[in-house]
Amino acid sequence: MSQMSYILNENVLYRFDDGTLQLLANDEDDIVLLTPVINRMLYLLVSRQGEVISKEEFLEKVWDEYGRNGSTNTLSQYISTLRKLLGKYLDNSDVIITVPKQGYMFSRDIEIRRHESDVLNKVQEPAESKVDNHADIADVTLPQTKKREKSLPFAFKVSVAVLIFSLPLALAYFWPAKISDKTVYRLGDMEGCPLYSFIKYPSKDVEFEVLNIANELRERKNLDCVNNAVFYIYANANSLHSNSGSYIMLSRCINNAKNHDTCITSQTSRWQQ
Amino acid sequence: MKKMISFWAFLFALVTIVAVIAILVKAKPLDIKCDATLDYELSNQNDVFSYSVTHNITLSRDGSGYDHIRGAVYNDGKSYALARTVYFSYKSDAAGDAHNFSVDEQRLSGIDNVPDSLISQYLTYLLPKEKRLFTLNMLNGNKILISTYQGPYFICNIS
Repeated sequence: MSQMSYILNENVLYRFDDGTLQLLANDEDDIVLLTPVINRMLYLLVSRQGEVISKEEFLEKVWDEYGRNGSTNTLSQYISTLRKLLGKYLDNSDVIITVPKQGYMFSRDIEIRRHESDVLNKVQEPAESKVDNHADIADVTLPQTKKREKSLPFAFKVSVAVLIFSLPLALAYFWPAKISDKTVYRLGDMEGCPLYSFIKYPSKDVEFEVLNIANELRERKNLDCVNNAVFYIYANANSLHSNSGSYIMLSRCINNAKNHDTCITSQTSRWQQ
Repeated sequence: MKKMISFWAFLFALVTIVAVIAILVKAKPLDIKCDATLDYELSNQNDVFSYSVTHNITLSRDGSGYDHIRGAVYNDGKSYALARTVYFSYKSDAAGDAHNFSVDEQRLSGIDNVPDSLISQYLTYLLPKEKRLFTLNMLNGNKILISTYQGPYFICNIS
């Protein structure tokens, strides 16, 4: 089994496979066991010393590849913890350098060499099951924090939210009026054309009387029954009993192609006759 | 994350409900173009007033509209040319059937020679500042029945 170990500044031994940091001047009682996350972060930094590692790569290689959820906040907290730890062991507070808007880099000022016993070993990716054995070290343990947000630009999110919420409101504003349908009642035929009334008359006798009124007005206004013609009539109560105050409306609608109607309306009103 | 999604879903549902309520209760705009041919005859003892006109009516969503009226007016053995455009504004009630119309302006074409006295006596609905309540109903899906307080007035063919 391969062992990946590094000696930092000739006085700290870092064993990736064990997840340990050890001051070489001391005995094994001073070994610090790293949490899996800290261990993977340190490995990434040490193995690529002098190279800027982006936050995204940290999140991917330290969390995502191990089925964990990380965030930039979590990363910052762990970096801070790691800084303190390395600062204490290496007596250098600038071991991990922050490169603004790019990521983090392990300082070139720190001398790193592979441990002699490991020189021939091939570098390999860490195994989750291995590092999970070290998960309970109090002084370097950080809580698993909230899920990393692969966030879209804020302005984009706001725009989408505004668009979504404005849809129902826009719909409300532009919703067209629904004009209710008028119920009509068939009174009979005039020369074969159907005659409809806008009101329901109380008896067949009254309906017959209205039919006669319609026929009289139709003849007087030369509204012949032609193909696809339909008549509509409205006669108020006065038109049934007397001529004064009467109001009669008769419409003839001819249905043309494409369901388009052409209507002619005739009205008569009479007073004091 | 689930809480966040629930929150936004709740908010969206709330906005949708408000919008639906707004659709149901707000004064609804109309968007209609129609034309009608109308023959009218009023007999008052020996006096007969009649006209034969066409209406080209446009109602816009912003609560405005206009009516191009062309035709002839007959009274006392004389005939007159009626050719004018009436500009109006309207407000619809919540139910959407009744509409309050108010004439804002009328523009007469050069041939219009109907005496003002006849307009004032028989065609008051053309006069500026006149208000009328009209009811609109669909008829057979392709026509609009326009009614006034006295009953059905005329049928307008949707253009």
